[in-house]
Amino acid sequence: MELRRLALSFALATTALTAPALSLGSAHAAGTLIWGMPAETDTLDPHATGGWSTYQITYQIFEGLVKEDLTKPDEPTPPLVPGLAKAWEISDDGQTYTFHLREGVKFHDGTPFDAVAVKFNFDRFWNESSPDFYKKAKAFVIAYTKWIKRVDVVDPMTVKVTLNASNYQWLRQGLQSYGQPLMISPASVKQFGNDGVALHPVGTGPFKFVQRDQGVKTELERNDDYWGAKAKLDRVIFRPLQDPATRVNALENNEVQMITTPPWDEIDRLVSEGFKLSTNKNVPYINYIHLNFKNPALQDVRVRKAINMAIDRAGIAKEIMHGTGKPEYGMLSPGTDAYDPSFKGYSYDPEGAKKLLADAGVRDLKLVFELPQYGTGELVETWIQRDLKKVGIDVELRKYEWVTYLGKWAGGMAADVSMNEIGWGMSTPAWIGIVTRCDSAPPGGINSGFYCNKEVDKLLDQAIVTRDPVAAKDLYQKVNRIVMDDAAYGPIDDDLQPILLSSKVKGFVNPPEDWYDLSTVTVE
Amino acid sequence: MGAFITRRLVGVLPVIVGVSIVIFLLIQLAPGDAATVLLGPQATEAARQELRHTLGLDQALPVQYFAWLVRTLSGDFGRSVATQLPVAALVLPRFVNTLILTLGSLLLAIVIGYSVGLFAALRAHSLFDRTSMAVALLAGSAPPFWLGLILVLLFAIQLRWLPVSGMQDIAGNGGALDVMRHLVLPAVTTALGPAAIIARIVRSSVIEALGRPHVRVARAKGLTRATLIKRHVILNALPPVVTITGLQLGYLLGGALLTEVVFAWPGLGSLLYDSITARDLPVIQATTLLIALAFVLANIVVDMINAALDPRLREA
Amino acid sequence: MSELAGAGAGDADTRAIEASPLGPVRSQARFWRLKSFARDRGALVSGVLLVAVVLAVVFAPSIGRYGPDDADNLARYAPMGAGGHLLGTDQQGRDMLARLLFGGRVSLLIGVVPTLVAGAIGLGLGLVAGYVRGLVDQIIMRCLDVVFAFPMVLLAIAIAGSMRPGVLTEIIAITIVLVPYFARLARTATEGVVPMPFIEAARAAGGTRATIMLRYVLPNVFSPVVVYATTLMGLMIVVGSGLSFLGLGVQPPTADWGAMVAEGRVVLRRAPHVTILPGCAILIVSLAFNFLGDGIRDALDPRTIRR
Repeated sequence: MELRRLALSFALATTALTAPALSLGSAHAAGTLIWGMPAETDTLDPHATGGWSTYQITYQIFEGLVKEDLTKPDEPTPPLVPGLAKAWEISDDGQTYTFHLREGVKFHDGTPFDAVAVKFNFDRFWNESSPDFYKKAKAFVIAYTKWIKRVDVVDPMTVKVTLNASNYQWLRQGLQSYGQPLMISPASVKQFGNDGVALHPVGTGPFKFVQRDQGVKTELERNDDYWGAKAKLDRVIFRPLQDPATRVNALENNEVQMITTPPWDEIDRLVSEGFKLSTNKNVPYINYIHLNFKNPALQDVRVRKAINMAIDRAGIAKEIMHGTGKPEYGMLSPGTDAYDPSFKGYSYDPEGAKKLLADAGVRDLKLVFELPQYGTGELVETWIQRDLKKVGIDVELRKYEWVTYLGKWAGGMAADVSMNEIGWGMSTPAWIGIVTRCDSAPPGGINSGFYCNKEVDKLLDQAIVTRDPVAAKDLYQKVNRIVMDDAAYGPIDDDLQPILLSSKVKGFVNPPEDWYDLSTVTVE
Repeated sequence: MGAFITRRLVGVLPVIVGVSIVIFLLIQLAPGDAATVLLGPQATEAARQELRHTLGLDQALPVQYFAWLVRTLSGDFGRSVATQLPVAALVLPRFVNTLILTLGSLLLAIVIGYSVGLFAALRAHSLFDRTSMAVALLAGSAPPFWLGLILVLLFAIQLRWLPVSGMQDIAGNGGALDVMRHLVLPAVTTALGPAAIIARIVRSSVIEALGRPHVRVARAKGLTRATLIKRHVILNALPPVVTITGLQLGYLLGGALLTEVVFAWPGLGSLLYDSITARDLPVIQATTLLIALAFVLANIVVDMINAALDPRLREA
Repeated sequence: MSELAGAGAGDADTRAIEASPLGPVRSQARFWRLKSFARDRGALVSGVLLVAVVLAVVFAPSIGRYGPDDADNLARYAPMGAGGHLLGTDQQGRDMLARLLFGGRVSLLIGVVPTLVAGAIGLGLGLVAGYVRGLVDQIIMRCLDVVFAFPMVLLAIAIAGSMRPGVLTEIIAITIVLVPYFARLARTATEGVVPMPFIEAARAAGGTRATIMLRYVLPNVFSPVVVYATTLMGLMIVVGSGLSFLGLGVQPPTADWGAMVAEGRVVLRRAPHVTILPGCAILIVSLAFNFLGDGIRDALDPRTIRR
């Protein structure tokens, strides 16, 4: 098998050279969208990957029992809508979820979707005693599976999942989990093996997998047998173009029709040249700083407050992000239903910051700020460095390449480090707990600055078992206020998720989510 | 000649073993933890341990080395940590692409270098000679990645003559002409430096050959200038020039790695760059190994051409 | 001789050519021909230029009004000459002149230090290998063959990519890559010196191995190595900037010229000076080193015919 694939790709590479030139330049087939992405995607197995950029592809191929409706850009959170389950019931105690499956759905390989297929998928990512269990998947889908006690097939079209505790956010947690509990064709897994899903992703979604040329492109085509509204595009091609300059050049040269994460300083020019800028104001993640509670310099809450007051968030949003971001003062993202737009936090006040530092008796403060390496230069971080310098705090930036950084961030800061940064979130407000809870501190979690306030944990425990959304919202907002009273973090901004599109692209919806529904898009 | 080739091939074996050890050890130097990469930040330490065990990362270095060597020799380069794909399937098409770029650049470097060098030598101290040698100096001193950026700005963005990225039109069917169009800018970027060096060497070799006694004798005998150049000068100037050209291969391959990053050319260079960022160890190992092996082989080929041109070398 | 290049005694020469954009280094040189050097206008101008550049980067703090990290959030991408910025500002509103000067410190360091260190190490290894011969020679040269089996830039990328990014990493990577080139050159030169009568005489006079190597062989091997080092510095500035361009070198807010090119290329169209200026700096300095190396080589080499 391995050898045959080698021979094949070699043959393809050779024919590419010798075949007569059928097309020159940008004579694209009708209805093809080429999307220039800032990162190469990893495996296309939705159970065994955690990256957003991968989910941007797998979302088109696979579906879960419950889906997010990504066609409503103005909702604070994408509404949950029936996916492969046409309906579901949650027991009053929040422990039993019963899913009624959609009839007549077929996987791309023609095999039927039913309760057995659902059971197979749960076995794969959750059930350690099943022969179908895939160890790697468990580590990724953990936020979803750690709640599961048992999974039962009630009848060929009904599945019951029992949780080990009450949880009313469980469905959303599944959609926001690091790996996603989407439905893979059992036949394809059996045929190609667990590792084989990477190149043979077979789901039920609006697009079918065609081919992948790693580092060059991943190509999908319309699934004409889709159970729902069929996609309009013939093909979607995902192109990893890590270098932002290349991404912009490719867009201008019509080598791609859509780019995500455009360099901020190029957006205005491209818009003036006729490219369309799409943004969303309710994106479910924030860019923020973890402050390290193990760092001796940050023990005094006045110092942490001073840091928060010294940062000119509005300046960053305006000058650096050119309005494609907005200042954020709290730890709940606008992409959750618990977001409080009236929350004030610490506004920009360098004089007040200086005074607080003086009150705390702090002088000549030197802080270490760890950050990942970006391709575009550290515009925001150096801005923060300068802001803090203005109130008398010297900041040393320590940069690491992404993977090393991720390990350092997840492992928690060393005592000599004062702050690190990350941009992430979920559309469930329960996310704030993942970041702030005492038991989320490393190595068990990613509370990278070891913040711990028992009051916060108590409120969060309460919130997760509160079924009434309004009451739950109230609890999450209370948590946010306590966390910010403690000045435990430095929220910086909400990204508006700028996406640049060629004027030929119509019908694209930029939803309050990090992945998009491409079935509504057309390309002239 | 056969004995010479055999000797060279046998002699190169210990070098290849050394190369494999260096590559293996380099990877051990690298910071970052593959298990964290694979499982993401929310994974438990136990899960990470288990994965390290599955990947064999918890074994002693020599054990890991031999296991890796045996697998590699049997054609199994392992699976990419990031993409789950078999490394061999990933790397080989990329290798072909890098060869296309490298050979394209080599050809360009040779054509430009030889013609400019020859003309400059035949009209030594003329305006053409001075100008072309000055340009050669500039091209030989400029950082190639920077040159690439300037070329993109000029020919792709301003003039819209050529594509800026990749190797083929992504939506189209490719085709040789399409690849050629994509090849122009990266190949020129990679080739300019080596072309400059070749031009200078060709120029000085030809000037030297022109001054040799037998050439002077031939000229005295009344051979026409064209015959003289064809028969005597070019042939005499060839051996050092071939050596230099061969040595440019290393420079070309190295330059191509950087050029690929600038032009998103899907070759081993951009793969290596991405893999370093993603800590994808099996891919880094395979990529580095392939490039080094290709380089070793290319050197042998150059030696054989040299030996064919100059029989004395076969005894060395 | 070498398994790889296999070109007999001219080996070190030809290897040198791969690295030097300016042609072969003659290893037999023994005389400084100062007059000829002074007559080489290109080399002279380059020498003066390089001294000026070195002085400028050394005294960078006293040139211009701005520091390299003094950013003006509201004066980003100022064009050349605007608002008291002679060469404009970059994406963070930092003075380009100051950044070029301070960046030049790093770039020059990366061009010069590895060349000197590798020159010293290579000289030592080549001397020992060429003089002691036998097993020691075999071991040293076989190890160097392995390093030679990699294209230079690939190995530098692989080494730098395997360690934490930083100036030291870059210097180490380039040094390792360069050592074999110097060692081969030194070995070939040593082999040329050892059969000479004066070495024979020293031996007869009862000189120990070490004394002979240091007092009689070394001085004769030294000058070709120095010449080679000069011609390599220009190339190493280019190679080093390539590593920085890939993000394997110096870390922000400090930047060398390669990193400046990398940072600026995103806004190549909006503010071309941010990318073009540091590229020109690399070009000019590497060109000057090449001219200088050419001049020194010609001055040292009796075979060169001056025009």
